[in-house]
Amino acid sequence: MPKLVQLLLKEDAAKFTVASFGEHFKTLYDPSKDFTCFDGSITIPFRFVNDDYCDCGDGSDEPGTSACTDCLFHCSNVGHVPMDIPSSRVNDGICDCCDTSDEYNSTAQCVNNCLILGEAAREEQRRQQEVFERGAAIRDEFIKEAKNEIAECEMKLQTLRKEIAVLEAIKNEKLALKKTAEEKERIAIEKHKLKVDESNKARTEEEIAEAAKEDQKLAEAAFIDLDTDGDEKIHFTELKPHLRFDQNKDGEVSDDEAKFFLHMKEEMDLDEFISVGWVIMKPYYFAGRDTSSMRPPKLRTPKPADIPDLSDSDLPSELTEPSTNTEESGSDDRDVDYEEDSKVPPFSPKPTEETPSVPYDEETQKLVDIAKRAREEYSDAESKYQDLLTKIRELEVTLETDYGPEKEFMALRNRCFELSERQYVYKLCPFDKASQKSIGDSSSEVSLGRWGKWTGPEDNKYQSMKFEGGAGCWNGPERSVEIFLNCADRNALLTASEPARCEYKFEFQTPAMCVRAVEKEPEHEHTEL
Amino acid sequence: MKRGNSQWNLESQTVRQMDDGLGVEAQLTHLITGVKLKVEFFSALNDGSVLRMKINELQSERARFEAKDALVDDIKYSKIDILTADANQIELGFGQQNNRHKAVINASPFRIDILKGDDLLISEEEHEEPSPPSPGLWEETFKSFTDSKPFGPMSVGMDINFIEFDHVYGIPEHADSFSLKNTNDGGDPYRLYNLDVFEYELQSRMALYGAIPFILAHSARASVGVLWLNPSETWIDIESSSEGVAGYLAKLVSGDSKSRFTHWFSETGVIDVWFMMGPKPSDVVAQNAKITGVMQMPPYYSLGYHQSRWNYFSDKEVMEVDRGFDEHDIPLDAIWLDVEYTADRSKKYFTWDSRSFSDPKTLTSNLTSMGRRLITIIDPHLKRDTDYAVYNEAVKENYLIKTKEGNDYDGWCWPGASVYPDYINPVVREWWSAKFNPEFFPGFEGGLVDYWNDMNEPSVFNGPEITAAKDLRHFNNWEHRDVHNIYGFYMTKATYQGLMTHRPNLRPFILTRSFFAGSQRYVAMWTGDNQAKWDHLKMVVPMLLSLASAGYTFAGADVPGFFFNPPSEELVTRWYQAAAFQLFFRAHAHIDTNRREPWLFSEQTKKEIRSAIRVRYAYLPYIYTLVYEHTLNGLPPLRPLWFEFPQDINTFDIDDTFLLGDALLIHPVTAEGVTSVKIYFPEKETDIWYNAESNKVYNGGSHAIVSVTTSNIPFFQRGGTIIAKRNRFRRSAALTLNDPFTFDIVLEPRKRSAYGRIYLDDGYTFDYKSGSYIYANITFERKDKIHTLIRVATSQLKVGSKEL
Repeated sequence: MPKLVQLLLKEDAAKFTVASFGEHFKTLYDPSKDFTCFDGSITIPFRFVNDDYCDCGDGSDEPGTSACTDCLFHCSNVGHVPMDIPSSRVNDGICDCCDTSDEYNSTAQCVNNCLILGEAAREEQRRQQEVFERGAAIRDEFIKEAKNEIAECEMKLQTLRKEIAVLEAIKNEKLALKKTAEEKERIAIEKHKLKVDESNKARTEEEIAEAAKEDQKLAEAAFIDLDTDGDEKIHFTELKPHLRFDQNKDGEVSDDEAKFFLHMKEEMDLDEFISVGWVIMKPYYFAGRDTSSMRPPKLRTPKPADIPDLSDSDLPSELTEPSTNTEESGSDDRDVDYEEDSKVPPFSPKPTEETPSVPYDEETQKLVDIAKRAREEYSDAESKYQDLLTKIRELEVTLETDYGPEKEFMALRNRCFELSERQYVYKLCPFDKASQKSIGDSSSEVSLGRWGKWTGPEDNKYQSMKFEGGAGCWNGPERSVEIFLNCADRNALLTASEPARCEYKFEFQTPAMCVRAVEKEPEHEHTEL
Repeated sequence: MKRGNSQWNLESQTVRQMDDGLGVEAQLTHLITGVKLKVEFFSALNDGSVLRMKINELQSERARFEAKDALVDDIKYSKIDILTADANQIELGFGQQNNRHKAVINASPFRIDILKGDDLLISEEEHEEPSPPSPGLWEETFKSFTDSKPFGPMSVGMDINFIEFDHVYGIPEHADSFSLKNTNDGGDPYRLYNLDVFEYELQSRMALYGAIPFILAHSARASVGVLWLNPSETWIDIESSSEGVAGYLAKLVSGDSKSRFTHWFSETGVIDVWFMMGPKPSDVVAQNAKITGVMQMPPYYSLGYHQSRWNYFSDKEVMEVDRGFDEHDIPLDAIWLDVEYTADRSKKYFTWDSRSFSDPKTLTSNLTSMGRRLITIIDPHLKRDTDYAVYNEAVKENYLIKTKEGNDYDGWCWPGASVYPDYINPVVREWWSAKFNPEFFPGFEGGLVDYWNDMNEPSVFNGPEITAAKDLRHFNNWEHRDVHNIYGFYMTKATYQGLMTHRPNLRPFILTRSFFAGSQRYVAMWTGDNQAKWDHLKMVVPMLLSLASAGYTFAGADVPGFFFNPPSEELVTRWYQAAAFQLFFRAHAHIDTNRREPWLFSEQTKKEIRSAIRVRYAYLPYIYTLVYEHTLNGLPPLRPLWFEFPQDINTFDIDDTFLLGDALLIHPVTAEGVTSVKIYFPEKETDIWYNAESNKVYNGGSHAIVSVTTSNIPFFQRGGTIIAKRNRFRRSAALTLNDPFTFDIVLEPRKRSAYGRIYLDDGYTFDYKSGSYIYANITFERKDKIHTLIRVATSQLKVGSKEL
C-alpha cells in the first residue's frame, strides 16, 4: 500500500549554535557525536540538531527552533530572570525574551532590555518586600488583637449568660402577672360588651324595618316601570326588551331568561313581585346595560433575551421584566433587601386594647389599666431578655466563625470597605454582607450575598471567600460574590466585576494575607534563579 | 397555491429579436383581464450557459422594484437565436456547441420547456399575475399589525419543473435537511422572509435571517440551477412528480424516474429568473458565481479562530481573554465586542464607553501586536436621542425609513426607541460609509478593527414578526415589502463601502446576520442565534451546505451554541471539532450563559478544544488556497460530496458529512456518547481515503464504521492528493505567514502519485490583484524509482525533494 509521507520545505533558517544556550547544555548536545533523542527513540546526525526540522518525537533535537510542537525554549535573560517560553514563540516576530534570543531569525526589531527590566523588577521586588514587611507587622497586630478580643468575648459571654438567667426569671414573673391581669380584664370587658349589645339590639330592628320599606318602594317603582301595558301584572314578554336580563350575554333575552324572574310563570302581580320576584330581579334591574369592553390589542413582547436596557443600570443583568413602558426605570425595587432583617422579637406583645364605643364604667376601666400596665412591664422584660439573647448569639457567632489559622482576619470583622466603579458603589463587610448600589441613590442597594465560607484551594484555603444568597436576578440565580485576597499593608477593596451573570468577583487586599515565610512562602517573593 | 394552467398567452406576432442580437422580446396577454406584459429572454455569460427571462408589466402606474444590485456589475451576454417561430410555438437557441440548449415556448397557454437535444430539463409556466395596481382595501392583519396594502395585490408566481431530477437543494436560509423536502405534506412551503427569530425551530421551513432565492436541482444525469431574483417575501412549494404530471410531460418522462416540481410565489416585484444549465454541479455554481458573485479574498486572520461573547465588558476583560489564550497556548485571531462597548452601554454605535473602553487605540494596538484583531458590532438601528450625532444627522438629512404617512418610523430595538436608516438610498449608503472614517470613530486607524452588522433583517422588537412593517416607505417611495429581503444586503454593502473608502488597500472583514443573493461579495455570515444543544450542532452542516450551494461560502455557526449553557463538555468539544473545518469559526455566547473560554472547562476538554483549534490552524494554508480557487471558479470550499462525485447517487442525501475542497472528507461527530460513526466514502472501490489522524485506509463506494474517542475528529484525506499545512502553532495566524509548510502527500494506489495546489499572498492587502501572489501546482510522481516533489509554477517557492 502507498505510504503517507510528510515532507518539509526548509526555510533559510539561520543555523542556531548550541553554544549560545550556555554551559549546561553542552553536555546534552555534543557536536562531536551523533545525537540521540532524550526519549531514546532515534539517533540522528548532529547536523540535524536545531536544523528547524523536528526529528525527535519529544522535540529534544530542536531546543532552539520552533519546529517541534509543545516544546520549550529557554532564554537566559542575563541581568533579569531566565524564562522558558513555548517554542512556538521562537522567530514569530514578537519579542518575548528580554535578551532577544527568541527572535534570532526574524523581522522583529528586538532590543536587549534585560538590565533595565531586571533593575525595575528588582526595584519592584524590593517595594513589594517592604509592603510585605509592613503588612506582616500589621498582621502580627491583628493576631494579637484577635487573641485579646476572643478572650474578652469569652469573658463577656460568661457574664451575659449569668445575666440572662436573671432576666428570664423576671420575664416569666411578669408573664404570670400579665396573664392574671388580662383574664380579669377579659371578664370585665365581656360584661361591658353584653350591656352595650342589648341596648343596640333594639335600635337595629328599627333600622331593618326601615330598609324593608325602602326596598318595597323600589320594587313598586320597578313594577310600574316594567308593567308597560299598565295591566298591573308583569308579563314575561314585558321583560324581553330589556337586555339587562340577558343572563347568558347572547344579545337577547330568551323566554326562559324572562320567566326566570317570574319564577318560571307567564306573569306576576305586584304583591307576589314584592314578596318573591324583586329579590332575584334586583341585581339585574340595577345592573344597567352591558358594554362589551374593548380589549386592547396584545403586543408581542420582545424576547426575554432582547429586552432593551432602558435603565441607567450598568450591568445587563440588572434588566428588569419585559415592559413596553418607557418610563419605567430599571430599578431593583423587586429585589428583596435583606439589609434590614427584622429584629423584632418573635412574640412581641400586641396590644389588645381597643377604644370601646361606649366608655367603660369605672371598675372595668381600672382592670383595663392594670392589664395594660402588666403588658407593658412584660413587654419591657421580654425585650430586655431578647436584647441580651441577641448579644449572646452575636458573641457565639463571633467565637464560632473561622477567622483564619491565627484569627488574623478577625480585624476585618465589623468593618466595611467601599469601592466606586462606574455608577456603582460596591460594599464589602467581611464576615457579614456584600452589596451594590447606584451612586447617588441610596435606596437602590442590592444585596450581593451574605458571608458564606472560605473557598481557597486546600493548600491555601484563606485565599478566597464566598458571599452567597444575595438578591435574586430576574430569570437567573441569586447573586453571589467571590472575593480574592492579597497581601498588602492596608485593607482595601480593589476591584469589583461580574464575570458571569450575577456572579460577582471582588479583589481585596489586606495585611492579614501577609504570612511570614516560616509559615508559608509569601507571594511575589524570590523568583528562583 | 394551486397549480393550474397558465392564464397567459404569448402574442406570437410580437416576438422580436432585439437590435443588438442579445435578447428576444415579446408580449403576453392575460386571457381574462387583457392585461399585457413584456417578456424578455437573454442568454447570459460568455458561453451562453444561462437563460435569463424577465417579465414585467408593459405599462404600469407604479414601477416594480428590481434587485439589480444583487447582481455583479459586468454580466456578459451572448447571442440568442430565434430558431423557429409560428403562431403556436417559438424556439430559441442559446449556449455553445458542447452545451447548447433550446427553449421551446408554447404560446397558448404560455409555457417554456428548456431542452438539451431532446432531453427536457426544465419546464416553467407563469401563474400569479403581476396584477395592475388597483385602489382598494387590501388590508391584512397579523396579530395587532395592519398592513394597509395601498397598491393592492402585486404578487408574481411561476411553476418551475425539474424534469428527471430527484433532488433539489438550496433556497437558504432554513434550519432543515440539505436535500429539500416536498411541501405537500400538509406543512408550510419554504419561506424566504428575513426575520430575527427567537430560538428558532429545527427541521422547519420557517423563514430565518437571510434569503437566497436560488435552487439547485441534481441527478446523476445533470445539474441545473435557478435564481429567482426577487427580494420580496417569497414562498416555494416543492412536490415530486409521480402525481400531477401533465400529459405533455408524460411523453418525455420515462416511467420510473422522478421529477421535482417547484412553485415560486413572491408578494411583489418582477419575474427575473435565471436558468443555469450546468451540466455539472461545479458548472452550476460557477454560473451562479458569475451572476451573483463570490466571496472576496478575506484577510488571512479572519479564517482563524474568533472569540466572542455578549459581552466582554471592558478593555481589561478583553486583555484577560487575550492573555488566557497565550497562557493556555491556544491560537486566536480575533476578539469581538458585542453591543455593550458603546457609550454608557447606550447602543449608540460609533461611540465607545469612556470608562470601560477609555483608550480604544491602545486596546487595538495591544491586540495587534500579537497579530490579533478587534471586531466590534455596528447595528442598523439608531437610538432616538438628540444627544446622538448619528441620529441627529439622519433625521436632519431625511435618511430614515418612513411610515406611510411620511414620518420617521419609530421602532424598538436594543437602545429602546430607535430609527432605521434607509440603506436602499445610495446617498444614505454614502453617508453611512463616511461613518467609518477613523477621525469619526477613533481606534480604527490602520484597519485594526473589523465589523459585525447584526439585527439587520431589520429586527424591530415591537414590529410584526419582529421586523419592519411592510407598508413602510423607502427611497423612491418603494414600500418595505418591495425591498425587505435586500435591506440587510444594502446595509452591509454600505459598511463594506465605508471600509474600502477609508482603508483602500486592506481587505475588510464584515459579518452579517441578514443577507440576500450577492451578499457573499461583501460579508461573511453566520447562522444567528442557535442553541447549545446536540440537535443544533447536527443542523450546522445541512445549513452550511445549503448556503454553500447557493453561493454563500464564508459562513459558520456560533460555537458551541448561542443560547443556554452547554449540557455537557462533550458537546463543547464536538462543536469545536466540527467548526474547525467550517469557514467561519467563532465562539459566541448569550449574556445569560456562564463564561466559556476554553480554559474554563476541565483540563481534558481544554486540551481537546486546543487540538481542534490547532487542526484548524494547521490546515489554514489549504483553506486559504480553496478560498482563492473559489474566487476563480465559484466552487465553495465546504461542499457536499456530490459536487465532487456527481454520479454517486449514494451521496445525494448525505448531510452529516462534507468535503473541504477536493481532498478532505469530514464527518463531524454530532451525537452524545458515541464510540463509533458510520461514514460513507465515495465513489468507487479504487478511491481510497486515509484517516488523517490514524492513517488508516478506507475504500470508496462503501460505508465504514470508524471508532472514535472524544479526542478524535473523523476526517480523511483522499488518495492522490497533497495538502499544504503549517504545523507550527503560533499565537495567531498572522504570525505564521513566514513559517515553513508541511505537505501531507497521500498517494493514489495505481499511479502512486499525488497532486495539490497552494496559494500564497501577503494575507491582508489587495496587492495580489496586481500579481503579488503564488499559485502553484504541487505534484508528486514516481520516475526511475525516485519520487520527486515538484511544483509547476513560476515563483520563488523553494522546494526540496527526498528519496523514499
